[in-house]
Amino acid sequence: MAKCDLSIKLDEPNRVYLGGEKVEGTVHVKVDSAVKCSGLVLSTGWKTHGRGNVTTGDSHDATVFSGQWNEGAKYEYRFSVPAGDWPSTYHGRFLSIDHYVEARAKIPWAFDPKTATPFMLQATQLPSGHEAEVRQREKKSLFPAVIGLGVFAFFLGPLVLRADWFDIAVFGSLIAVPVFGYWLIRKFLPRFLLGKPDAYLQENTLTPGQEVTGEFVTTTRKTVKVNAINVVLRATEVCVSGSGSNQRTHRKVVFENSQTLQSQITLQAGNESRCSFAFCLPEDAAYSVSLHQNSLIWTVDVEVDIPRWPDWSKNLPIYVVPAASQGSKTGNDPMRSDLVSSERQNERDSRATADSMGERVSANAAGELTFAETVAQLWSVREDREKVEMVVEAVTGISFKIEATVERRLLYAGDEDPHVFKDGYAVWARYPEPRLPMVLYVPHSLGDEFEQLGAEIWKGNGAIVGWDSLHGRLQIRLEAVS
Amino acid sequence: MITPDDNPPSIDWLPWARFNLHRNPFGELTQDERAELAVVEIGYLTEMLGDSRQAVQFIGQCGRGKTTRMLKLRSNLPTSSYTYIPEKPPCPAIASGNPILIDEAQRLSRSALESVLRSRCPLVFATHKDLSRSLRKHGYRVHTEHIGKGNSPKLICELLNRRIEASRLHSGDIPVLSREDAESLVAEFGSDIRGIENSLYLRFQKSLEGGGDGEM
Repeated sequence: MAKCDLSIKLDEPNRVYLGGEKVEGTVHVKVDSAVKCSGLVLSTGWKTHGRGNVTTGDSHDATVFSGQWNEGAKYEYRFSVPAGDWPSTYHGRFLSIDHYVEARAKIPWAFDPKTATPFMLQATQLPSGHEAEVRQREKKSLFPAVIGLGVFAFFLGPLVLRADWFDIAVFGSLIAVPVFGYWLIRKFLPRFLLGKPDAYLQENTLTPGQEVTGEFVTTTRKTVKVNAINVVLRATEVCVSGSGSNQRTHRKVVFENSQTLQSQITLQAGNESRCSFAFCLPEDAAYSVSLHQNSLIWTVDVEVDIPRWPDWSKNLPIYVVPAASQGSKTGNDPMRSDLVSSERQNERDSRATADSMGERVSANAAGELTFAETVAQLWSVREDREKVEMVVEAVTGISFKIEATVERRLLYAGDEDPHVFKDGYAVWARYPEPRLPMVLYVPHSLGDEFEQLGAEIWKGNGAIVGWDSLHGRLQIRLEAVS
Repeated sequence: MITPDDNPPSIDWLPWARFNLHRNPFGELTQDERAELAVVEIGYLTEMLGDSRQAVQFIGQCGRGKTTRMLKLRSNLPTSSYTYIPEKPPCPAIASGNPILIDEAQRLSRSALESVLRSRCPLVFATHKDLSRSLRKHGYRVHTEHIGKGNSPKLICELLNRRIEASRLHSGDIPVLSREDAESLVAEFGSDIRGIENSLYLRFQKSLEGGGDGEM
């Protein structure tokens, strides 16, 4: 087999590229025997590495050559590819993010040789999905509770239905006592003493070097002695590795700055006590990121240390974002306006997607919306789960003329899948182009047809019934031939 | 144990560049990388799995290499299907394949296990529990491997050096883990490869932050 060595030489390997700039360089190719290359592709992208499961993102690619390489020859090709715009290069303890230029030579009937070299990227503005990302992180805080309720319903629900009152009381107390204890110690007792303690930030979206300002405020019911009121600004890397029972969450505090606002003070009964605080974010503070199972989270933690009593604490998230370019800054708070405009843009995009599909769905009454258009729409938003679900919701229940190539049959369609026909089965399939993954629910009457299909494209009618978010597949229930 | 390259590469801003590496070699890998870097012999298994009534089960504790073997088999057998069964229900969809690879097979629900056993396809299970009785009941010949027992210092040394090699930045010297290093790691962690990797990750980061000569 021909040996094909690739190497990349960047023009400026130590330069900090700004989001959207071009990375330029030369890719060198050395082959030991004649080989046909169907495409020498240069691409840029990013990848996390460290203790969390790897997350990747692609930016752009360009084909710089296709054709014949001769035996023993050396070739050089210039390239200029966009650097991408998010996230910034980051090197921490548990989490690192690097951008790469990758060269891949597509060789028919052989493994594609490839090579990559890192370059440093500095993001200059928020990506369009940043707000959605933040909202998703906030939503995740409810996830453990939902899982807990689900597990409770699944495992204990049937037991409770069969058990007598004594068993229910025992089960109930096993769950209620720890929950009550947690609420008593962490919530009720500190509040009982401190009255209505609260802490807030003036602004929670900041740029590196900006000041984080906030205040702790309370009005106690009776006079209370307090050891100290402490505030800590922290940056924490949170990485998740493995999955299922092997899943581990690794946390590492990479920046910490603490202040004691007051020590050995007495909060007088009925008087409102206010303690303000201010921190300066480091000039080189890393931006907040949430890249699937790899995050860098900035927080301000406020804690009231009460002698011989449970302490009160509150965690306030902050978002460190890139400073916007000078030209786009308007108003008194440029970052806020940036976030707002980013949010508005997202809303506009979402509305446009929904409106577009809504119009097309109405149009489908007249038979205008095709399956190809639906697939194209889903393909274009496939990285954005919210938009995918929005599109799928708009077309659920609609019957189309389907085209699909079957990948493989499912032995088992998953627990309680309501779409599987009685005596029918499910197959994984793809639309011919773009290759959108699908699950087809096949009725018994089409069984033989599917068995004999092989690699041919299947054509028939089916209705969209949902989206399989676990496998990223459009669910379609096929219509039986009458 | 690990010493930096004498001729530092030209990428000054990359912390690992002084070791001629582009990352910490002992961090998490993608599934494709894990398959590529696995030090396992699977030739006899692929031959065995040509028979549709053959089942293979890998039994062992966490971190010993069960999933790595499954990923290696998947990458070498394009017609195979691989399904990981999560700890909590629901049991996911299981695609047909030749062979069918099921990771954490002891978690299969009864109906899912029944579907798999009736598939008439060769099977590979990674499991904590011996499922040979169910397999034999459905007419399968069962080959069982206890994973972890073969994790010798020689193997540990080879697989860790492969990981270091896969993190190479440029041509030239890179750190090398010696057989003595591997022996001391096996003495400390036994056959727990994941434990060894986690420990080396932290030690490698520490050596970077120390800014010294990289000795760990």
